[in-house]
Amino acid sequence: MSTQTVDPTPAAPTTSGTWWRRNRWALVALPVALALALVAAGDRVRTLWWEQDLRQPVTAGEGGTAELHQRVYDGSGGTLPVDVQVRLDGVADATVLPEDMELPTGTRAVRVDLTLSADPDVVLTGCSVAVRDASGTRYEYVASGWGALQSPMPCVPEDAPGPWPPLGDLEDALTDPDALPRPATWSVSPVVVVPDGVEIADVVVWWQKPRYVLLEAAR
Amino acid sequence: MPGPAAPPDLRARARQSGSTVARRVLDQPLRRIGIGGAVALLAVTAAFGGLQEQAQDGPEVLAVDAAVEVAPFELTVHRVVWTTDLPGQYLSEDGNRWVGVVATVRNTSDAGVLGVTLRDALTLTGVDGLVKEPGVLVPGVTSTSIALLEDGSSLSPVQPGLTYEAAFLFEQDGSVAPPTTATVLLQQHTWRKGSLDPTVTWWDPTTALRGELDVREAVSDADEEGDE
Amino acid sequence: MSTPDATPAATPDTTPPVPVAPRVRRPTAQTLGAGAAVLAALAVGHVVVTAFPVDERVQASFLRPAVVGEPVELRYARLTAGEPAGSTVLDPDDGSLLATPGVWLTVPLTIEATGQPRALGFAELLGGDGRTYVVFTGGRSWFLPGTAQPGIARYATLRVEVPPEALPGAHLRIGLEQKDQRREDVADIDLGLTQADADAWAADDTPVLAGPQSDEPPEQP
Repeated sequence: MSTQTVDPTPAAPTTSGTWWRRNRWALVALPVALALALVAAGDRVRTLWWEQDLRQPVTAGEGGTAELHQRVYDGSGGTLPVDVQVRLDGVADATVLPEDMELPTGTRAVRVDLTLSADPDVVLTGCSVAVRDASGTRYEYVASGWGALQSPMPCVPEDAPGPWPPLGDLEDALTDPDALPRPATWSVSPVVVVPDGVEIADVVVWWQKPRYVLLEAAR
Repeated sequence: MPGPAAPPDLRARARQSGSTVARRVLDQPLRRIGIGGAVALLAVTAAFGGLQEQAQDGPEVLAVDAAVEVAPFELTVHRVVWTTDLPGQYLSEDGNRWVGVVATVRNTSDAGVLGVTLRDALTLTGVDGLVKEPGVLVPGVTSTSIALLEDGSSLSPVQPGLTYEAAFLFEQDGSVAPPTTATVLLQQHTWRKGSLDPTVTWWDPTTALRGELDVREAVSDADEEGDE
Repeated sequence: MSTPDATPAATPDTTPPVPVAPRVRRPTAQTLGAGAAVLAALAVGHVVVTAFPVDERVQASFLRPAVVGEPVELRYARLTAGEPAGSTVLDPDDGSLLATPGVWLTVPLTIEATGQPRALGFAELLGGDGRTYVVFTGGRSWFLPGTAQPGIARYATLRVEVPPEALPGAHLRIGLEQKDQRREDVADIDLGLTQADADAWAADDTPVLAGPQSDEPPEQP
């Protein structure tokens, strides 16, 4: 092993040298091959597990505003940027219920006041809002439920939702030419139904799992 | 007879190597090598069932009112009729008509099967102006819906151990004359794993029976229309 | 360092005397041994993989046994099956009536999601006759409870048509994913049905109600 240790030339294959030396390239390739095998076998971890739940929180900085930058799938093979600032103004019992809402027994309605800012050309229609208790149990905003019809897009102004993701042939039919441009900053107040006795610890807002905006509810 | 196919230098090397087998093989003419190769190839297919007796030569003739096994179903085709009006069924365009194959359906397997498999089990061909295009994986045109005669609901899932009376409905363009004959194709499925999905299910609809049947106007429906 | 640099230049001069001889190399005992070792390893691997039927046990669902009226704790929800009912006519509460060549069986279920909202999608009936009766999210045999929010009970009625002989001893299985129950909790509810139930329902043509799912408990008759 010590006689020919420093021989940088790839000499013609000989029977001389130790086993380690003769197989040095295979030994170098082995960890690479193992890593490749693991990556190849784990290709579904991302789609079937990692992207199936909220895992990467974006928390609020100073002033209580969280800034989310994410590229989300647009549903037709491409991606869209989501660049948005979200601030939680408050979580409180809803004094006025959405029209026709009838609360099931043992529940109450809470209003989540959010202020968001984004460029008017950022697509923000597909967002979800939920509140969580201290144990992490998630109570989601339901657009159509308990008799009421709230906005299917809880994060944008209902009369000025801004641009939509590309819809192909449907685009012309569904785009409202009279729709107002979305303002640079706006507020929304979705109502979430939670069981009685649930104390809300935080509010989560997400466009595509696993990233989400985590906003602590003030005590 | 033509000479050996192998190039001379290869044959020389074979002689040099001292292998009798190599020398004999390389001395053979091309045709013999070809035939030998083909025989060897066919022999290899035996390992994968190549020599098994062919179960079926082609579709058998479908007879009316005779129960036939097309896995996972037992189907009895009773009649083929056409009508313009069926309660609970909606044509894609006014003026079109339904061509219906009335049949008895039984699921003979030991588990319920969804209606999509039943839809592939009975298809129609030889009828002009069917609104649906012929399928890619299934021979013939599949039905638009399969309605239970008793309550008009769509037959899915098809549960085992029950006997359903149903009409396989095919929508036909109203500008084409109603058919006088139609060819009904019955497909049987195979219970196997998918090539990408390990779930075992019914695959590969293959035509087992075909029959050219007379088509007539549905009398009872026409009477009802007259009454109204 | 200088000596190794000189060797490559010298090598060509030494090679010419043996140009053809190495080409007909006989396999040495070592090569044959290595080949045999590889084949042996493959054979052992094959035996290990096939001899022990572990695949099914590894992928099996975690069956949580339950009976009617008793809540069963699943990873994703707490589930309670109510008293089953049956008839030859089903009233889906949409203005129509459904007939069946067998009998309709309905089972009211109460779903309380845990952790996050859950939409249960899997159900099947294991008949007492050994056959499996499919319950799909659409069609005649049907179970579609919708999304249950945590802490807010959701009420849904499952319906399935079966031949009467499947009813005695039937078990109802409920799970989360419609397509995949591997390594997942599945409730296995013994419905406690008897031949007497089957006979009574097969002779009954009073429509049995299977109303829509809701977050309010169904009205008790």
